Amino acid sequence: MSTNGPLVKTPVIRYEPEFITGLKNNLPLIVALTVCIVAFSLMAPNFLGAQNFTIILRQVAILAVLANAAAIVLIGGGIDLSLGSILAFSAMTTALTLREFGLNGVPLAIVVGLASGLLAGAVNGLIISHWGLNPLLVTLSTSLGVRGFAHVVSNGRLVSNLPREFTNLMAGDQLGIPTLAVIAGLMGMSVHIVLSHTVYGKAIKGLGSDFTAAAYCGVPVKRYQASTYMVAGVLAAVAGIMAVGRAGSMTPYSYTGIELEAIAACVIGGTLFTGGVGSALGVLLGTLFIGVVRNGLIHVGLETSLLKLVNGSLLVFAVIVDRMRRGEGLRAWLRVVRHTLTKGPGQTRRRDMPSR
Amino acid sequence: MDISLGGITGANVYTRWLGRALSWGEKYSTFMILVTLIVIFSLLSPHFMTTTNVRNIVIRVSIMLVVAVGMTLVLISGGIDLSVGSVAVMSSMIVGTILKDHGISAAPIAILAALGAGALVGLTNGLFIGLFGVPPFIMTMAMMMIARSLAEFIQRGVVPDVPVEFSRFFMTNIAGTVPPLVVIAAVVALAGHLVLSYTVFGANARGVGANASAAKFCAIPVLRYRLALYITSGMLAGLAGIMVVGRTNSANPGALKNFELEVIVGPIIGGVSFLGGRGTMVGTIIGVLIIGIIGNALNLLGIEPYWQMVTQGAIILAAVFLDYARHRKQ
Repeated sequence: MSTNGPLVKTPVIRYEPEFITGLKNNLPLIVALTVCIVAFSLMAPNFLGAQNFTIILRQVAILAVLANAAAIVLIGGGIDLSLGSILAFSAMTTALTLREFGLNGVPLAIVVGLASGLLAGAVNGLIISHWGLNPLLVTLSTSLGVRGFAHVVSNGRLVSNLPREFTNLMAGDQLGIPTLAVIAGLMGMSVHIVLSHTVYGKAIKGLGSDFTAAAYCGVPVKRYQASTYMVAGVLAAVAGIMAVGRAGSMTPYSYTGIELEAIAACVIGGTLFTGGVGSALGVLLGTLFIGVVRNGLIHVGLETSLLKLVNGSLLVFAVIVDRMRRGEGLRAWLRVVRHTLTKGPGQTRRRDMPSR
Repeated sequence: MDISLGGITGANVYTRWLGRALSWGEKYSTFMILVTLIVIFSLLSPHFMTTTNVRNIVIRVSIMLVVAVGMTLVLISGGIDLSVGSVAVMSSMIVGTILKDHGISAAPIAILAALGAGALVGLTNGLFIGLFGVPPFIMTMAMMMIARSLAEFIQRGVVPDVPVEFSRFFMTNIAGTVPPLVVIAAVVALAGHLVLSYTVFGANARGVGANASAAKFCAIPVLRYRLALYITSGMLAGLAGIMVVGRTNSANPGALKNFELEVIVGPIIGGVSFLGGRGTMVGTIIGVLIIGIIGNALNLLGIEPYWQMVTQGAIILAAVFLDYARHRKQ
């Protein structure tokens, strides 16, 4: 009788906290972020410091909440270009309610703001899930419509004269951390819990990676698809309320185009355009990356008119990173170039060729 | 591609006639929408059918049409180009700045520079889309931000002092009725129609849009077609920028917001599909006319700009529905 143990090796399942896995998945991004911080600290003397870090947190908080909204829709296999408009719309309704009812109206204003976000998200979600229309185009047109309504409710004017206590609280600090960053952190944590630890989060990931398979597994796909847009609408409304508190006033045309930054943050943070993959931690890191790059470039002395150029380039960069992760696009072409240089032209195997 | 299978044999004569009437209605539906809109707006506003207003509409539509021709080609090949508005603004800033600094004698150089900048943007779009596989929507949207940013970088404010001769060249009527601006648009539209309907290039572009991998198996160089089409679209957007300077005699980095949406919706109403492979240049012309007339009428009827924005969103949504309905039938 042999004492050598079982013939079939049972695989050892090692428990690893989700947080550590997330850090491992986002290692390239963490390295890039560190490199950026070191480079900017060397180039601009005022960059590294507690004060500037607080400024970056304040600048990035609203974008972080919006990026979480964008991430939920992207993970569910869609895309939402109306987030900036929903932000502006719910910020306008919140600000108008606050101006009307004063400090006593704060809970009402928050409810009104969240409800307007939910409403706009529901319109998106129902049109997209019920008729199966292209989410890019539908949310592009609703972004115009919702932005128009933001103008309509306020007659296109700035809304100010909001209760001081509210704006002081939102623009102030809690234990040395900006309130906005605290809210953003709480939102990020709840999105993380929903995505990683609930059946709903799993169902959404399934929906994003394969719609038909999810339907066969008994997920009520259309309802869940619509719900992603509604959750995104509510999160955009939270961002809108934060924007009102931050500035103490609101115009219907502010935050135009912020949805693209939010999407770029998601994609830099590892959310795939094709759906099904993404994490709240990655979104947080992606947002920080964008915030650090923008702040650092201004410290280095970039013209403000070129900031939009930086945003656009970051978006393209993010998509290329996304394609490289999946081994398509740029990496495949680099493979062809390498094979051509080392083995001569035409020596790339078919399965190594770029897919397009 | 529209492939007619002929009449259904065995169907009785009434169904056949009904079918013919329906297909006739579908074929000319956009044209009938156009006529209906013209009738409605002439009844609603006494200023609608005046010579000045018609001239305004035609000039506005010709700038849109030049870009829409390029957009039609891109849409038919299965792509989309959202950067055209910003590219037009960028090229108008280039033309305006060069003309202001060097006078009217620099006009050929200014025009070449603007067209070249448009082509360069198109080349970049095409390279990233065709080579690196960035989705067209995202790539051109990023390019929209980049080109707008460059336009603002060239000069922060409006360039007002463009030599008058430049504008006079574009706006003085030929034979007492038609400004050269409109002639340029007509020539571009005609060329686009000929290329799309009567050349191998047009047919192949359609094939790329209908099924890119099938086109690849048919030995169509898909990447080269994508590059050519995006470069065309960028150059035509550059031409539109030149025409804008010719029309307004100034260049404004904040102009033409949401221009790309109007230019996309026009072809879609005219029967071009977001999914690629379908559409004609005649449909595009009618669609752009519809958009131009609606925009003009909303202004004439005194609708507030905010509601115009909502209307624009609703029109795009309607166009998406229309496209969906047309596509589902086939």
